[in-house]
Amino acid sequence: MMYSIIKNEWLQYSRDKRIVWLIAFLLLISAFALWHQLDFQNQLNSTRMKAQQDSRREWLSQELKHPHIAAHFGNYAYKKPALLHCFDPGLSIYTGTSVYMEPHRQNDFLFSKGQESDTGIRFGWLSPALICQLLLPLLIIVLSFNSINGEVEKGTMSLLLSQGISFRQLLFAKTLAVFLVFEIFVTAYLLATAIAAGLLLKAAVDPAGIFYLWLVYSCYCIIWSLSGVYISSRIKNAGGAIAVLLLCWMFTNILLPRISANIAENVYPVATNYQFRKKISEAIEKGLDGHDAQGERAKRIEQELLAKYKVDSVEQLPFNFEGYIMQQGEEYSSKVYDNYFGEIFNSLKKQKTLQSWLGLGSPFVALRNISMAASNASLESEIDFQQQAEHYRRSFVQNLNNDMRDNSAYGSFNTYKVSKDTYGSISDVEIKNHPLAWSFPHIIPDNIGLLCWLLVLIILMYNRSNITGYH
Amino acid sequence: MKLQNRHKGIAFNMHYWFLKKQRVNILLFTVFMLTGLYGLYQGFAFKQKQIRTIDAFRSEKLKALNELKSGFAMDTTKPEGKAAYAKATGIISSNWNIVLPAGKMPSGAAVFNIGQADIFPYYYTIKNESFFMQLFKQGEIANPLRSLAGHFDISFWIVYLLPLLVVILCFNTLSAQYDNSNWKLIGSQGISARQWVLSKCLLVGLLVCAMVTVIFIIGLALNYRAFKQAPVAGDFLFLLITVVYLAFWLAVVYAINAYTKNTSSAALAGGIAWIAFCFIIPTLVTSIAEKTIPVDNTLVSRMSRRPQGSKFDDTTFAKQTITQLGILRPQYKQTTLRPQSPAFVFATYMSYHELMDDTNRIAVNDYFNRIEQRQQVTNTTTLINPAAGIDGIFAHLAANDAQANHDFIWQAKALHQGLHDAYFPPLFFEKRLAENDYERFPLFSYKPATISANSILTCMELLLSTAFIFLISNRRLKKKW
Repeated sequence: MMYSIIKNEWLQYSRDKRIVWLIAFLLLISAFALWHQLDFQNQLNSTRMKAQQDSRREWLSQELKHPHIAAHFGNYAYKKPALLHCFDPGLSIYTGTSVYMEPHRQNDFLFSKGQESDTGIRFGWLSPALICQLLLPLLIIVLSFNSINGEVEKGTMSLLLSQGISFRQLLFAKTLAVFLVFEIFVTAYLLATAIAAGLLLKAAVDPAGIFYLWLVYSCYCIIWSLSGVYISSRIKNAGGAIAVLLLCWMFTNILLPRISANIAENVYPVATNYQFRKKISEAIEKGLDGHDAQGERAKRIEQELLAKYKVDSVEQLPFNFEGYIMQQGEEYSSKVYDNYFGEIFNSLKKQKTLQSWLGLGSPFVALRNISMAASNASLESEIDFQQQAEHYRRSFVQNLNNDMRDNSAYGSFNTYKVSKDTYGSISDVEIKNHPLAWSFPHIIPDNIGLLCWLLVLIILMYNRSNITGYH
Repeated sequence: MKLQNRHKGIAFNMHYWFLKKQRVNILLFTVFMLTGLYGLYQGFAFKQKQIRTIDAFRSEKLKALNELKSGFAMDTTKPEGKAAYAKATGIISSNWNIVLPAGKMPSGAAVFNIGQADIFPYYYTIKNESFFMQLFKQGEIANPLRSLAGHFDISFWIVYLLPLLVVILCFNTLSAQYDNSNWKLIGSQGISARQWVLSKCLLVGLLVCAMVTVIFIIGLALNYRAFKQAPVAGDFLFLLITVVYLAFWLAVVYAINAYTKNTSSAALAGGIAWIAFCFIIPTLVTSIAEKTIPVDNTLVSRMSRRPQGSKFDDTTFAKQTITQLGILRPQYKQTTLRPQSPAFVFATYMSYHELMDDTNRIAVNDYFNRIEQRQQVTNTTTLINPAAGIDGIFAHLAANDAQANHDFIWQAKALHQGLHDAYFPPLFFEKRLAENDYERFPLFSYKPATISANSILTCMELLLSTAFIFLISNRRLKKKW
């Protein structure tokens, strides 16, 4: 019987011109979004790979110079798009895309996509994920808002119930009918994105990531299908039902995410770059605890070395003291950077947690976080990228400081030059994208939130055993 | 005519009575007013944060410069006085210490629109070295979570939320009466469908405009009280464009009433119109602008590399570089700098940076132009893309769009040039820095760009489409009802 109802629903959808046009529009805009995103990521991939190679070539072809001056020539790290960015670019659109790495200073990630776009980007970035997160619920609403009250209005409800099906079964059958339409779409869309992205970016597809995305997007479709049919069973008037559903969509998908992000920023503000840099320079100068001045630190290290090697002056040390102290300075500044960058990352993580809590009222917020994490475009992935780049910066600066320490004489800053193979011995930066298992612990609360939504709606639907209680 | 006006008056009064009678409407207006105030608070807090940061930044940098300058007055017979004097007058040592601040003070309308101000740096430190080398290392800590979600400022309230209020209040003005079988009763009063819908649109329009005006006045008062900023023409243009934008949405709901028969179709049409104008069309136009105007940052991103090395010690290379600078800046053609002078290598280094900036300027200009062209696409497609077009104009009026930020960068570049004009003569003519050289260091004062004629054009475009929608809907209403 349920199968017959589903079949009948689909027949009615195919007869309704409005629905046919809307589905055609969905297919068209989805295809456009996929093409746009594939083209965009492919272009990013090729330009950034070329930029990384050019940067490397410049590094290798620089003239022979003092290692510290060579370090100041610096290196660049360009963010390479992950395969699933073709589905959900997430935060990668709003964060910096490259960083200049040099001694003494952990630079900012600059050139975010947001800086290069028009103000229209504030309305959203067209991608397959955006289609699935924002448009699909709308179409689910269109297909479901009159699924129950429409039968009552037409007078066909009694006819349906007289076929021996319970009201509860009818509700679930109607939900299934709507859900299956979009489930077919989500499955095909995700597969098409994964295959096309794999072919285009020549990268291996992570089946676990795709499967997980399919699972959560399916869950999201069920949530909206259940909501649509449930509201239709509660509100007698089809006009009222669609108005309520549209308002729910606007609140959960547009207003709540924005309100929660703004509140989270008010509660856990992020320092301005000026405040941040000021704190860092003060901490380097006066010490992290304010009682370990830079000059005193250097003096202490000098005294320790002189005592350890039992010599009277730094010139007598078996290595170049300048290189040694340079590295010590780097290590101290790294500690300071870790401390203050840690504060910023913590503020952002707290903001995200608060947003997730406030977003419990919206399955969209939970889904968005999960989707970004599975696509390597979450806050944690972005922080990880910065940390990997910073790790590289420290290692290449250390290599050059060690070269200075071990191979040059004290006071030879203007005369000593690195050997020919030094530049090549420093490997190029390689940023790794992580698999799903790495991201998963960060999105457990969002998974729970989504499951709660699903369970609550199933329970509500299950408790609707008859048509009474219409508003 | 008199009778028609009387009927309109009756319809207007009836709508007012209906609106007042339903408590949900009072609640709706209160909620929207509160969200407006919240939006204003967000804009105000952001602007205040920017102004405080710029003030602290500027005073810190100027204090440091004054401390450096105080070296001239020090007693050079004492070691610390001698060191301070050398620090201030030494042509090479002073270079590292001369840092000029440049800050982009938010405009009056910035309290209504945050725009792209959160992702662009709004203060720079300017030193003697290559401008672009310094520029592309300085960023602001942008909050990606907020960028993803978007701001909750007055622009958002106007562009997204007020149309929603208009749609909610007006979408079923006619169909509800038809569904409830009340239409015959209303019609018996001599009120036509056109008069009925028009009077509802007028009432809602007036109420919404009153809300906007209240928020606007509070915003201007806050600007004056907290930031000592008096209203300017751009602020009033902001209000005028808001009214035009609301008129557009009233025309849309007028059309919905004319073209739909029942409440469910009207709700569907209202929802689709809102989603299409506030979400689908803007994202489509942005993606088309992205595709048609490609922007590649990889060239400009590599301008941060510091060109240092032994080539600057090579006298032939040095002479060539200084000669090239003489071609670019003839005032330094007759340089008296000798190769054995301690400043010679440094002057070569600075010449190289100046020449590098001159070359890089073209690439940076092209990079900025392309971004601005993308904004132009959004702003000039207001006819089909009203929400994003108006949002773009708001950002322009608030000087918080990419163009304003690029303009700020070019003003900072002029400051850098001014610094060179004061610093280069002593460098290239082998002198120590004198106290009056410090007086010649320029001070930065941000000048907002003039309001683009495009804003007016956009307003006209929107008025045209509003009139068009009203006219065709009017015809339909006359025919159908």
